[in-house]
Amino acid sequence: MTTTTAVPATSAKQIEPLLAVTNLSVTFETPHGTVEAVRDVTLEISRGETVAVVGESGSGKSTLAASINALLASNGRVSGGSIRLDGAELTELGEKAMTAIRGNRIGMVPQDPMTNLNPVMKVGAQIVEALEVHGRASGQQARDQAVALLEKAGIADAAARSNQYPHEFSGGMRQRVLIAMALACRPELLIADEPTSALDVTVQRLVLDQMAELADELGAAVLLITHDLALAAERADRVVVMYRGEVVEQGLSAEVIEAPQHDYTRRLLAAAPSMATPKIATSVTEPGTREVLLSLRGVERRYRLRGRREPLVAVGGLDLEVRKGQTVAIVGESGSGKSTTARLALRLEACDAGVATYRGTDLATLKRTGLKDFRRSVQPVFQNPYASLDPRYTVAEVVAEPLRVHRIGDTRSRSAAVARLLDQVALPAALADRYPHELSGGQRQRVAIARALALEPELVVMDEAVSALDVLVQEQVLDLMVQLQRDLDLAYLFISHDLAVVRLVAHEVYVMQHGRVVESGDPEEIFGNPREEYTKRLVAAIPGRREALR
Amino acid sequence: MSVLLMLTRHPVLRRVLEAALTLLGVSVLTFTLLRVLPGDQITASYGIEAGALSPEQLADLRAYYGLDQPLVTQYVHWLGGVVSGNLGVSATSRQSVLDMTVAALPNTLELAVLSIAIGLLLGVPGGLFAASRPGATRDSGSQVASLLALSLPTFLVATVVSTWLANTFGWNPNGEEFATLAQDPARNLQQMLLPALVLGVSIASPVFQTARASILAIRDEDYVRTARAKGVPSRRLQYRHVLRNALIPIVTIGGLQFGFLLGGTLVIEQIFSIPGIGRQVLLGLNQKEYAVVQSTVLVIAVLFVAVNLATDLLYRVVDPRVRAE
Repeated sequence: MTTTTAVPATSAKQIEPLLAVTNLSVTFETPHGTVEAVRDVTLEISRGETVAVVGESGSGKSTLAASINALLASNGRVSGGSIRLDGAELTELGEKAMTAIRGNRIGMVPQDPMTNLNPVMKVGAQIVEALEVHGRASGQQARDQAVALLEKAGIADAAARSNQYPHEFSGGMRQRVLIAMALACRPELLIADEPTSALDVTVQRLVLDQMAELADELGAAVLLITHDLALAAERADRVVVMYRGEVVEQGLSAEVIEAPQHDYTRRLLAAAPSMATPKIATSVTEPGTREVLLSLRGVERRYRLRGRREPLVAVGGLDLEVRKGQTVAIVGESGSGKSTTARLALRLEACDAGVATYRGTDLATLKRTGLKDFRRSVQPVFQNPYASLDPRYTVAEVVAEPLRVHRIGDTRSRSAAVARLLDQVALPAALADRYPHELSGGQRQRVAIARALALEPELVVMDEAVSALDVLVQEQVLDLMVQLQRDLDLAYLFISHDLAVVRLVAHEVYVMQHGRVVESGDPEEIFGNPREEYTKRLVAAIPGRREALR
Repeated sequence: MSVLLMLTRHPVLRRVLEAALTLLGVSVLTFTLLRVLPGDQITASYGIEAGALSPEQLADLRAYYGLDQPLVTQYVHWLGGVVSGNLGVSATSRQSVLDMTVAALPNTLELAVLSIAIGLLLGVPGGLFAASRPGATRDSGSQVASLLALSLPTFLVATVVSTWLANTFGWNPNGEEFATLAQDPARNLQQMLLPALVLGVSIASPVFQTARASILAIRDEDYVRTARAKGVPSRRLQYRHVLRNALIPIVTIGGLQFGFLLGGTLVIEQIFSIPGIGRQVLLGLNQKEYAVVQSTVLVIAVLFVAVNLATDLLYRVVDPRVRAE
């Protein structure tokens, strides 16, 4: 274990750090026994400093954050070490004393803005509540302060907006509300647990900027929890790298990025795709001559919205082609029409205008056997590997299901097929009898890919299929995708908001905005030299463009 | 046709249209079911003496009550009356069904309101109490109590409790003549107490189960954790964040139960001799009084639909997301 302490010696002697975590261990009691989620972690944060804790899911970084303000799940407890806030020991405090500290001296910005606001309370009232419970302000004064905070967090027309409910806000706006809420009582420490990973890339940057600005203005130190090393290095003064519950490395951001000491940090750095990472896509010889599998011509999809006369054009006049053995990517923010396009390509929805064809056959005309054949040839892999697998099916049942549905083979040949497919996606055969909840996120997504491959499709539609994965796992899945493409001559329709990932695997890229394609062509060209304003913004929003640092 | 389609798009008009269709269905069903039963109003009112009537006399009586008309004509005639406020007349008591209903409905309504109040007052705090320590003695204890309340038949409990009170303490308010709330509030409330308790306890059970389950689910929501992270003390957390969100399913179950109560709790009204709407239907059925049964059932259906609409409106109060639609 390499630990480089970067706190200047003078300041460490003179003033006590704001937060000092020393030899902290946290354990969880589970039905399978005791699990130590955080082991012997030591870190310090000085006033006004931003420290980032980086690690993949399961590294213990969120547990660390939760243990600081004593919000561990009921089966978890601090089993060793100490947490001192401005010299005062927090681990010995009772719930009541802790309640007085939470929100008051330690603010928290949670991960998912969609689920972290009370749906039946107006957003203004939720901020007012933070002020009231700590006796900072009440009544009209509190309401005025809440409006001012919302304004500072970047919400326009804050006075009127504060009277609205969370469902009337977009994800980015909700996260701003949560930031305003966390900083309402001017806490000395702000814990931000993956504050922007649920947001669009272009919004991420803005929200992070606003958070940093506000924290700076109020003099709060920030503990930033993230899985994104590049983002951590860009935002924090110091970086703490966690792996399997332990701190493996910490130091000044630039130093960690430039000269990572620990092997895990080096692997994280190598796996995180940036615009400088070499492409891994196979080269397609004479792509123009390959047969066209999927073709969308002038395709349009409209949704009728309640209370609105004009229908929402989710996809408007889209032209797109996917050839055999080729990876075609669609990038854009949420709401740009990417996922609608995927559903149209899968014929889960019908076009309102235009023609979608597969191998020359109009998808709208497909009936029974034709549709069944189409469903065999085109398979989906969805974003959330936690939600897309039936929790009551074993891995073998999940992978064999398409074969069962299409009445292919008998029990024995199917189980042989399952073994072969699991091998193809590099999963050990022993996993066949496990249930999805026993697998890691990466393993689950491999199961989803194995299921998609069961029917030997020609085209796999991947809708944000690697977005929920940690960088190391993502790298493996991307490598797997490319290898399968080489071996099986697969075509992919690859939908992602992550330009760096798209650049790695795509042969052709379409940039979508408001349901329309604003730019398309070779990814190297599009991202290296974006012509459209929107594409430029997307490229600029990629956190930590590391070429500069290297 | 396009006008009708437009009507079905508007959320409120759509609900009203659905309600009207439901009521029409109920009216057709009760009308038909009554005609399917053997015997009719006349044979029932004359009892065993009905056999002594000559065919001519029977035919005259049938013509007098309009029973010789084709069924469709009878139905249209009855429904036309109902729409203009004429619910028909009871052949035995010579009272108009409207008058009977106006007299009986307040009693049923009172009983329903009291019962649902008891059910909610027992069930919701019970749910909070049980959910405060899932798996602890208080939780399993309340669950056993709730299961007991659910599985004991109300008529049995009602009979046993009232007999016991009458025998041991000589307290038998329901033995006396029924007094409405307006006539003698003290006696009325005494007479209502036992039936309301018996019904309330049986309602408390599903309310308790729903409250407990939804409170437990909401407690694990991200926004509850976030509220804790901003320093909300536990009591306020329980009420402002957990219970406020758990109200949505509680309103659903409360509304359903209240609707059933309005249908007249036939058995309870019978046991405690409360002249409510349930007894009115029962008496009408015994006498094969078509007008009484048909019209009263329709009134009950109207109330049920009204309660459902009210529940929907309550959703809008409780959940701003519903308001937005």
